[in-house]
Amino acid sequence: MNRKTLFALPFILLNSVIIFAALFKGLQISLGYYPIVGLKDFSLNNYQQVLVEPFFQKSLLYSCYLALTATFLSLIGGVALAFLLMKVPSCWLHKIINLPISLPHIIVALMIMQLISQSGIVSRIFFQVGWINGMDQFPLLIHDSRGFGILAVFLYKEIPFVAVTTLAILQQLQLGYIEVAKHLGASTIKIFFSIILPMIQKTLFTLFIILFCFTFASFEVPYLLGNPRNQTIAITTYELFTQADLTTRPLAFALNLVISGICLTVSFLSLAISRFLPGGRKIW
Amino acid sequence: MGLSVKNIQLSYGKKEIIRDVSFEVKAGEIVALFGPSGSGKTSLLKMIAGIQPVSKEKITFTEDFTQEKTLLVFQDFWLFPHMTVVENISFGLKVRKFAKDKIAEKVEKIIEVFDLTGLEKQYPDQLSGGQKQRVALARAVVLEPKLLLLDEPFANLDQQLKITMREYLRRLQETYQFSIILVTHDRDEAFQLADRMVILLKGEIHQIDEPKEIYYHPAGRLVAEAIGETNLVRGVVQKDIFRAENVELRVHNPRNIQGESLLFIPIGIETSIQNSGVLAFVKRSEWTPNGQQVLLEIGNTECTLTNLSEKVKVGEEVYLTFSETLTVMRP
Amino acid sequence: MVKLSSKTSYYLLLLTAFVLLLPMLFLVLWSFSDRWMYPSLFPEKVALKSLNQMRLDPSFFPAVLNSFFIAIATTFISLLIAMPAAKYFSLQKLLAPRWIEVMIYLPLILPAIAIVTSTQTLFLQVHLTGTFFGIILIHTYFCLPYAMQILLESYRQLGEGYQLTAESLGAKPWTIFWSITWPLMRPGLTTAASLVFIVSFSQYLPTFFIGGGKIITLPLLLLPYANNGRFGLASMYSVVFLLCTMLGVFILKKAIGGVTYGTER
Repeated sequence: MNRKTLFALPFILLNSVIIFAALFKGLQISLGYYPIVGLKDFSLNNYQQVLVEPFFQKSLLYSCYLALTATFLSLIGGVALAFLLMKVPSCWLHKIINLPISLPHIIVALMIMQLISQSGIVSRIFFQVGWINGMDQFPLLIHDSRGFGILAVFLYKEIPFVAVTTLAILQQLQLGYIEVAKHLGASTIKIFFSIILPMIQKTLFTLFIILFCFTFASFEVPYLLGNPRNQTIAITTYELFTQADLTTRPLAFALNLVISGICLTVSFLSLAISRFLPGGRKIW
Repeated sequence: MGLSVKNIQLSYGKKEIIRDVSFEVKAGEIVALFGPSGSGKTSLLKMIAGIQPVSKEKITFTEDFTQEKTLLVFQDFWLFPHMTVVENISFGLKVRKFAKDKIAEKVEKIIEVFDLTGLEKQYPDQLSGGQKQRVALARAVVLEPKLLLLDEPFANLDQQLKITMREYLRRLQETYQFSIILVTHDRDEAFQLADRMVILLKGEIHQIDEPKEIYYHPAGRLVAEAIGETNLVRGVVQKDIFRAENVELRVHNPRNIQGESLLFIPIGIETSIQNSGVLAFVKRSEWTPNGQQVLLEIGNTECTLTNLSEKVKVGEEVYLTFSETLTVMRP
Repeated sequence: MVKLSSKTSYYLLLLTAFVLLLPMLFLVLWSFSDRWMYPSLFPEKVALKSLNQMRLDPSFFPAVLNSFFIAIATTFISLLIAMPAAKYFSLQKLLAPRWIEVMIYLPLILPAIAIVTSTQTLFLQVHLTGTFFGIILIHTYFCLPYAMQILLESYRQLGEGYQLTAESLGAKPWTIFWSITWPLMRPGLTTAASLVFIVSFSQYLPTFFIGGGKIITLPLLLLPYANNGRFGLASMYSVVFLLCTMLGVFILKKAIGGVTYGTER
């Protein structure tokens, strides 16, 4: 290892230690070896429980549903917003669109609560306008089973994020390609799908991976806006962990590893798909 | 002597870029390192400058040549964008811990020599191509190097500017008396500036000689093609007689080739039209600022000649006599 | 693709901006409200009640200080680690860019809850829970992707040329860094530092689990208030939070600074 690789060492070291230690500990305990509590046998019971029991399955599926919905909608909305931003150069509007990115999820959750809860601003407006006669007539948008409030938070934060990231890429694109295509007679739709999309698909897939994994494993937002009967997987894990009874720990660690596995699988699948789509080859 | 480069070998992974390169540079001479792009010439310069690792015995500095007094000027200039012209030029002096007033003195002088007066406080993005080039050179020359390594310095300039800058460099070199290794793939540049040319092709040196020598007697077909010479007449040689259709000529045969060979005719060779000699058929005649460029068929091969003693007409058959004895090469 | 005129685009964008801005305005309104009962559109009483409640909370000020301290420390360490690593990755030719991307984004891909809980178990054994150092470490882990991504791009744009030229003119590594690299990298460093600061300041789970209840930061105070529906107080805390992050970013901008001539690209 020459002197230059020393530069990357602290970075690699920190990430490796945390990830591998987490992995190792998690494997160890989830496979049943937890001496502090007196468990010393190796078995796959915990994994079986996590994957088979309906309670866990429901939680996993619900998280998947939220993650996929939020991510897809964010990607579509974000790309559309990016094109809007490209067309309108107003500095102020760009700055406002940038704001949600630096807001933490907790605060955004609070804002959504204040906005669309049954006692929120929108409900009050409806009341003032005469559309409803009381708080309880306003539809349940937070703490609801479809996770409307949760999705709202993620959309509020992620659409601007996707927009700004895509905009940066679009601006780097050489518009020469588009001019040539137009000159040769291509329609706008053809230009979008044959030229623009392949150039930004790499970024879009990266965004998909990051947003999906984050939303899938998000804790704060479902904690604040979720329905007790529909837990997301992070909350399930959290509850298993914060119980006084330490024997639930192995189960929790098994869950940890399962959701890590899901995130990694989704990521690598997406990267594989991206590689085989047009525009995906040259960066491997 | 001054700089001695011996048996350099360079590979990128499995690909061998330079097989075995050796040459020397003397005090006060300009050596052109000539070859197509990608032949490892830049890496060679980096090795000489000491920025790229190479085994110590391969590059030797003697007399008053040292690696510290060898400076490399990159093709893209790389003027520090956050420094003014003066700050850029002073950089090397500051690094060598010269006193402030000494630095100011030297910089002032060099700015005058390089015709940069008035631009002292400008930043690189405010300068034109030629100005950037002069600042890049000034930054190196102010350090009074013994050996200047120039990596295709004029490649990014337009034609007229190239010619001006080449002259400029010549005068600088005469004034300051440094040696130059000039990497270039522009043959006119090499011909105009170099005292000697090193022809680097496919990782090996094919010829080291004065430009004139190389032009009239290239050491083989590859070299001829590399310097843009295309007149290679197919035929057969026996001892020192070359034969092709309608051609029988006494030639130089330094490699003692027997049988199939190519007759090399330099495009600019002095050719007189007489009553006897080599038969040629005039196919095309074009005007160029440097004279008439004539396409002739000699022994079944099309050749271009630009130095004919008189005007010829298309469709004519003429007899050519060359001012020198021509050489034959392997096909 | 819908063809939109510039005017339609403008109004659409304006609408979007308005929709994004509205909740923020109400947040501020809530923090300065005393009584704001359904169904009024505006607070009945505007007062500094929340502000006072917040000031009197004994854990408030320490939480702010803790958040600041941890965020600044995390920023410092993240930059220290990310700078050389980003430089290395920007120049190396072995790994394809996508693999490097994956490596950098791993902390964002692996579930935070999984990493944090496993790390807690690990840290317990080495007595790092409940310490500032432990929290800073885990924050750095989560913040590095942001720093790396920005610095990697910065270094890529910088290129090798300037440093090679300085080296060929005889400069030693330290001079090269101080005269060439640092001035040209400052804008990128400022952006990276600001982002890391904000991300660290906003962390909940890592501080919750690794802090062990001993070290309280602003998000840890904020979440319960939001959860209990105490809008006024939660909004006030949020506003303070935002002001703190703005202050932090401002300080970092001044410290690492700015755009010197020639660094805009």
